[in-house]
Amino acid sequence: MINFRRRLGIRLGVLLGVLLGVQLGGAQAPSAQVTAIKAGRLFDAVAGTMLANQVILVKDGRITAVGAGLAIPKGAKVIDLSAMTVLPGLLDMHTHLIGPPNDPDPLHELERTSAEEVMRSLPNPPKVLMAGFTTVRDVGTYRALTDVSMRDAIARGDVVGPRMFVAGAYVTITGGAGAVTGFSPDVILPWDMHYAEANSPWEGRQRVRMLAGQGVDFIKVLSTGAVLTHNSNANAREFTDEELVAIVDEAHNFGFKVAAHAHNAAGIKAAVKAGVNSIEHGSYLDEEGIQLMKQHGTYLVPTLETTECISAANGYPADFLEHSDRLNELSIENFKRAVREGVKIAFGTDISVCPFGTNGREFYWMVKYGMTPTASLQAATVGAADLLGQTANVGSITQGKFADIIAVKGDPLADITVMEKVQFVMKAGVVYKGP
Amino acid sequence: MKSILRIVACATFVLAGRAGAQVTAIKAGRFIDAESGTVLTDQVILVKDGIIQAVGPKLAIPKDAKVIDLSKETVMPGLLEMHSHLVAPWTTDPEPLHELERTAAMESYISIPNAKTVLMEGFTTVRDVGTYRALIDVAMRDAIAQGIFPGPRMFVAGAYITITGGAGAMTGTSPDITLPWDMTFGVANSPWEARQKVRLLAGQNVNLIKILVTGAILTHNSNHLAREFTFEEISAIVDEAHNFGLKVAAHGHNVNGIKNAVRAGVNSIEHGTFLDDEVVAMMREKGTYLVPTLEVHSCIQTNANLPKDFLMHDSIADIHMASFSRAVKAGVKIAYGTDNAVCSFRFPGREFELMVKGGMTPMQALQAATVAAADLLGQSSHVGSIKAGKYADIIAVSGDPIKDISIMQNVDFVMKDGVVYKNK
Repeated sequence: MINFRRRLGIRLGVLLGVLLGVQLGGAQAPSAQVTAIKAGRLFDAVAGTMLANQVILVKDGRITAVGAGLAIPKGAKVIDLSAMTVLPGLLDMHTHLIGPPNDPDPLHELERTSAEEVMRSLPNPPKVLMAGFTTVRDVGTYRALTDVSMRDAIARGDVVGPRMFVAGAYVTITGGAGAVTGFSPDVILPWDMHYAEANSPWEGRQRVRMLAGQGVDFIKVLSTGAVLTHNSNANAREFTDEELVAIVDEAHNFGFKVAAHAHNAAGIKAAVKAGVNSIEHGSYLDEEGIQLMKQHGTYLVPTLETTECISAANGYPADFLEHSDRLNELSIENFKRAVREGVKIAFGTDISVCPFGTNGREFYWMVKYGMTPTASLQAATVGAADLLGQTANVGSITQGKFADIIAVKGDPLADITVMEKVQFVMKAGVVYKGP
Repeated sequence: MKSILRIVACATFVLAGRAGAQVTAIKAGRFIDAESGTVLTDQVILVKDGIIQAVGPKLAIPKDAKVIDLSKETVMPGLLEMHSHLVAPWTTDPEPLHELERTAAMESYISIPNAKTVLMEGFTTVRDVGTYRALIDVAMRDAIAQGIFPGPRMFVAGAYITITGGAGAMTGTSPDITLPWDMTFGVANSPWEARQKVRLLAGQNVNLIKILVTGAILTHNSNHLAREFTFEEISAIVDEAHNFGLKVAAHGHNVNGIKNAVRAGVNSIEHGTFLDDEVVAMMREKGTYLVPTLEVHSCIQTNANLPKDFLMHDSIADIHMASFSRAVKAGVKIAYGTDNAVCSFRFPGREFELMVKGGMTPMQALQAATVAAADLLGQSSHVGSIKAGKYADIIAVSGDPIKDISIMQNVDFVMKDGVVYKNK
C-alpha cells in the first residue's frame, strides 16, 4: 500500500485507538442498575435557574428522580460531580454530520462514492457527542439518505454519536442553495445528489411524500440562495409562495416540522407565512420578519459561529468568501434586534462549517450579541427540544426524560465559555466521557 | 450485533506506547517460524515505528522499551484471510435479494463492525474478494488505512467480473427490474467487455481482479456444475489484469470451469470443489494456488435464514474435502481462505482443523495462512512472517497449535502495525 498513508494511519490509529475502542460498537443497552449523580450545581433549564447540591437518579437510560438530598439506593453506582455544574445534554439544531471534515468545496463530493462519504464521516459524530451535544437535528447531506443510515447506526450502537433527527435530503429548486452546483450543465448527477430537487408545488409535495417513505424525521427546505453554494445568490428568493405552502402543508400532514434555510428578508417572510417551524440563519431578518415570526411562533436558529470559520485559511473557495463577507455585519445587528424583541431562539451551529467538536463556541457569540447566558443555555436545551417536538424526552433534567446529562467546571452563567470544555457526557444513561 | 459488542467488551484495548520513537519488546515463549516451518522457543521481537526491527533469542532489550510478556504463549505472524467478504450481513441475512432494500450507505454501516471482528480473531490482513455494491470495499480499505476505524489491512477486488446472471451477479429479480450501477459494475459478456471492466477497476484503484468461472452455491438460479465465461474471455481478463500488475482470483466449483481458468493463467482457484487428477497436475505445474474455503458447508447447512434453493445446491461437502486432499497430496500450493462472512466471523479458526483433516500438517496449515498467503498476495516483503523489516503484525495463542490446531480458534493477542488491539 502507500507508505506515507500507512504511517499516518499508524499515528492516527494510536491517537484514535482508545477512543475508537469505545466509539465503534461500544454503546451498551440501558442498564437496570441505578446510577446516582451528585451535582454540585445543576442548571434547571425549565425554570432558567441554577440549583445547588442536587442528586439525579438514573435507571434504564431515563431519569427516575431529581432533587436535593435524595436517598441514594444501596448498590447504586455513584458519579460524583459535586465540583461541577451539571446541565442537560445539549441540542444542536443545525448540523451536517455527513461529509469529510476539512473539505468545504461541494464539488469534491463528485470524487467520492457514497460509501466513501460514509467512511470519511465516521469521526464526526463522536466529536460532537464529546462536546456535550447528545441530540442533533441534522439538516442536510449532499448524498441523500446517508444521514438516515448514520442515525440508525448510532441507534443500533454501531457508531458512537448523538441521537440524530434527520432531513434525508434538501428540498431545493434546480440550481438552488441545496443543490450540487458549479459544474457544466451537461454533467449528469447521481440519483442521490438531486433526490429532493423540486420545481412546482406538486413536485414539492411528491418529494415530501418520498422522504416520508424513507423514514426521515423532518423536512429541510431552502427559500433563498446560500453563502456556501457556487453560483448562488443569497439575496434572491428560491421557491414561490405557492411552492412553499405546498411543501409545508404536505410535511405537516405527515407530522413533520419544516426547517427553512433563509438569508434575505423576502425569503424569510415567505417561509414564515407558509408556516415553517424554524428559520435557519435569518441573516437579513427585518422588523416585519420579526413580527411575523413572533406571530407564528417561528424559531430562529442563528448559526453565528460560522463567520469565524469561513476563511481562506480553512480552504473555502474564493466565491464563498465573497458571499460571506457581505452578510456578516448586517446579520449581527439583525440577530441582536431579534433577541431584544423576543423572537424564539434555538441553538444551531451549522457544524461542519466550523470543526466538529467546537459546537460549544456558539454560546459565546449568542451572549456577545445580546442573549443572557441563561437564555443561550435554554436555546440549546428546552427551546431546542420544543422546536424538535421532543420535550417529553430531552432538554431538561426532569423525571421521565432520557438521562442525557453533561457537566462543566466553573459556572456558565458567570463565564459562558466554560461550555466549550465539557468534562462529562452521559447519553441515555451511558457515560461517554468521565469526570 | 450483540455478540460483536460482547467481543468488544471483553477485549482489552492496550496501546504499545506511541507509534513512533518508542521500542516495544515482545517476549515469546514459543515462536512459529513460518518461513522455515519450525517452532523456536524463547525469542524476543523488537518493534519500532510499526516495523519489526529484530528477532532472535536473548536480544538486548533497550532500557525504555515497553515489554509485552508472551512467554507463556505461542507467538506467530498475524494471519492472512485470502477469501474474505467484509461487506456483507451474510451471517444474519444470507438472502442476496435483501441487498435491494439497502442503500450503499446502509450496507457500509452494517459492514464496518466486520472489520474489527476479523482483526480481533487474528487476521491482520485480508484479501477481500467481493461485494454486491461495487467499491464499498475500496472505501473500507482506505478508511482503515487512514485510521478511521480498526480493521485488517485490506486488498480488494472492487466488484465481481461475472457473466450476465452469473455467480457474482445480483440474480433472482424479474428481468425488467433495473439494477443500480454498483450492482452491475463488473458484468461482462465478451473478451472486449471484460477487458474494459478490468480497465475500469484498475482506474478505481483495486488490488486484484476477481472472476467467477462457474456457477455458485449461494446465488439464485445458479448452476455450480456449469462453467461461466469462455476460455477466450478468461484469457482476455487475465491478460488485461496482469498488464496492470493485478493478480486474478477465480471462483470455481466444477472441473471444466476450473481447467479453463488454470489454463488461462489465473493466480488462484477459490473453493475448488470438484478437482480431478488432470486439473490438479495443471495447477501444480503452473503454480496456481488453491484457496479451499472448506468450512462453509456446516454453516450453510445450519443457517436458519438460508434461502431453500441454496440448501439444495450444497450437498458437496464430502466431494470438496476429497478434492482438497487430492490437491494437497499432489503438492498444489494452498493459501488459507474461509469465505469468512459465511462461517468464520462467528467461528474463527475452524478451517485449520479441516485442512489438517484433509491431509496437511498443522504447521503446513499455519504456513498456508502466513507465508503462502503472503506469496499469493504478492506481499512477501511486508507480511507473512515475523522478520526484520516486515510489518509488526503479530498474534499469539495459549497452548501449542502444532499439537492441537483447534487452539487457533482462540487468539489472545493481536498486534497490527505495532499497535496492540487485543491482549487478554
